[in-house]
Amino acid sequence: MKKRRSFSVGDVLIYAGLAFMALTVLLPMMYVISSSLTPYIEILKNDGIVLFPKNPTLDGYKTFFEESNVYRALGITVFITVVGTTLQLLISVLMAYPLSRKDLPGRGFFTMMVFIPMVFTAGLIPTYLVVKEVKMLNSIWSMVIPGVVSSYNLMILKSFFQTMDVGYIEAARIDGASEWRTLFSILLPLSLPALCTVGLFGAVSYWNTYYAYVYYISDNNLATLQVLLKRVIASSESMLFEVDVEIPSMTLKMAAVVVTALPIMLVYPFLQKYFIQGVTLGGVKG
Amino acid sequence: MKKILAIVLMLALLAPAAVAETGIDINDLSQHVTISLFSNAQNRAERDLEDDYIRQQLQKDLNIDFDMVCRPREEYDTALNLAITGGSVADIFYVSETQYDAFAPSGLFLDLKPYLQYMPTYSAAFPGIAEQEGILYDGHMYMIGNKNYRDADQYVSSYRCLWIRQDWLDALNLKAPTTLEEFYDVAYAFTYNDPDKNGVDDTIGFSGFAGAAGSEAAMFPFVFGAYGVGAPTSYIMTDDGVKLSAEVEGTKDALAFIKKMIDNKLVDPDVLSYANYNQFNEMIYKNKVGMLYFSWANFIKSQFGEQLRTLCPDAQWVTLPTVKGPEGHAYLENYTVPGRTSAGYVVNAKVAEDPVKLARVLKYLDYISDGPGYRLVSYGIEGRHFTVNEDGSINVNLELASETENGAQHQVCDRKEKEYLLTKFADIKEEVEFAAYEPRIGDYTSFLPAVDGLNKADWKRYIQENVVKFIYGNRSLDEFDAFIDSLYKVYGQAEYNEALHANLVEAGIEK
Repeated sequence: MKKRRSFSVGDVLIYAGLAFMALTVLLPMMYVISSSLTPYIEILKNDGIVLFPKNPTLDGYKTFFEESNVYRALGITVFITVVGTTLQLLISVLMAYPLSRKDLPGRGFFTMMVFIPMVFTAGLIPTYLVVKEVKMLNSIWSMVIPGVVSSYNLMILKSFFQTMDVGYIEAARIDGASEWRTLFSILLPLSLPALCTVGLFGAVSYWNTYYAYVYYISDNNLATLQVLLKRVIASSESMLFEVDVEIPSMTLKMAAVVVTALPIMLVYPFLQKYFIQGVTLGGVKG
Repeated sequence: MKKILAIVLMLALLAPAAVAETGIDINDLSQHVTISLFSNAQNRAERDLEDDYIRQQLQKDLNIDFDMVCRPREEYDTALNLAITGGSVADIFYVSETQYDAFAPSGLFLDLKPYLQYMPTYSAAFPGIAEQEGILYDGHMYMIGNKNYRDADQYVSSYRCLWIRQDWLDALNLKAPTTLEEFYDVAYAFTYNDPDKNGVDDTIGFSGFAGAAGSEAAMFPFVFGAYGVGAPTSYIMTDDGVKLSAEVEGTKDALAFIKKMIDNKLVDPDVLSYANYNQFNEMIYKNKVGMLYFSWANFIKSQFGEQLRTLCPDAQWVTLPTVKGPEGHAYLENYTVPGRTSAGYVVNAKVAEDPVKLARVLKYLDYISDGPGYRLVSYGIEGRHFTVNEDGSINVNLELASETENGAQHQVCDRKEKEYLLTKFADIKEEVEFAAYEPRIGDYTSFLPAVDGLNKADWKRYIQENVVKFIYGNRSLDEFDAFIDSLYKVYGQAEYNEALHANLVEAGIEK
């Protein structure tokens, strides 16, 4: 006989709370997507709120793709996300693994060198001057290199490597594996949750690149998707005295939001399993 | 021999004078030069060269590569500060008041005064600019001229005016109000007498929008104007000299009038909370308000006009002349009396190190200040974007208007505002002209400097907050004198008055 699951008052409250939280996330998303598919006049007729488009249109998307350099910006953003995330993972792994080994000489010193920048920063102007001196101004690499090492992500990886059974490393040594082989062939395959978590943090950060462009780049051709999105939204905010320009409608603005946010959101379902495992990685263990 | 020596000596003495008189020839365009511009005009990025008709023509006309970078305002200040720090700032760039004050003493900007003699068109477009105290910094002319320094008859201070629903007036058999009391009566009728004849009590008499919520411009300036004063944080000319409007007789009566309107629910309850004109337009499109204080540029111009006609096909909005107060005063709002020009375009002092570049930059400024270059940056390419009539007036080709939408990014020397607006918006010429000529009261706040130890932003906010409290009844108007007292005791009003008076004396406005 099938046992019916009984719901206690606590269960009901929990589900109600979760449903409420889900709605607070879903409703704005529905509003954005629906507005991007609804002609602006229809939005105005419905007091500015449309959750289900009645006469959907792709005009907002068409305009966004035609009037902005979206394809170029998408290419730039994908490039810096893929390259930046790859470099970040590589460099972080190459530093986190040795730092996780208790027998590393000067381990405490090197760990401090990683930890201090987490807490203190030199500020914008010294960073700008360094980027300028290495001739990275107005280069796509200024949106990749300055942020390629995240102390926080590095510490997460280090903590994860510390939790791994030392037996794997000893067994690999006994079999004659080099440090490189041990790291890349044995430890990294076992570290997928950590790598996916850190990789996702890094990817989202690179996908959202905005300030690096503002600080280091004056070439419009290197604008990222976030920069385009910001400009679409900002250009409609200032127009009290700018009499000549056509103002982006709500439809266009929401289409820009969807185009900018959707690609990175689509990555999450594929990495969800690892992300959930990785959420607890920030905890200090041993 | 002696004769030859005398001639040689004479030539040697005269040669420097000859060089000095012909020092810079701005019309020598034989060498190709690169000029860079960095600004935040139009709050958006610049167009690519292939889409920028004005830039292409400018490059041809002046034999230059014109490297233009425009940034939205939020990015601009940081990017400019970094560029200045890194020593890589453009040849011509825009500075805010804070940046101007910070960098002017450092020699970053080029003093244009000595070069005015080489820019005849520029000098004629900005007559007497070198003697205008407002544009000088310690006697140097760093700022490039703007509309405040062009011919006075071209000056347009704002695009705002009062508007009224003619169809509602007709439905209720009313005449457009001419006095403040009539304005109140019409607002009352619009609110309670069902002007849209739908049997529902859902209409409102008045609303307004002129900028960020809570700014004084949003606070019924025409009511203050009807009592002969300006917005409470403005400084106006009185018989006793320039005084803070809040202290001038009439302000308390104006506040009482606004309170009466609000108490009787004649005013849109959201009037102080609109974050942008889009939200305000959404309210208008609901068709429930009868009178507005708003700008034609965001109300009836091109796309806004189309939206209005589509969503409110029966609404007949017409302009309403500013209403008079009990003693016959009528001011729509403040207009800023140009004091110190502290934000605008400047030229990088490094430009002077290269004589060819210097000549070209001067030529560029001269070219776009008036004449064919001015028409290029204002209207586009002659024959394509506009034609010139026999009487000199201009017809704009509206079908290609989008090609020169970025014109304001090229108007480094600003523009003849009245001519520009009436030309570009010929289809709403009447409303543009009407709004331009509504009576306004001069605001001398631009002469108010920062005072050591005092925070201007706090002072202004205190006044605005209390104005809101008075009109919404959160503070009784019986406490108005106490409010003025606080300004003196806590917010340094006396020091502000003194500092302003000193600047006005220096500018020759007061003795």
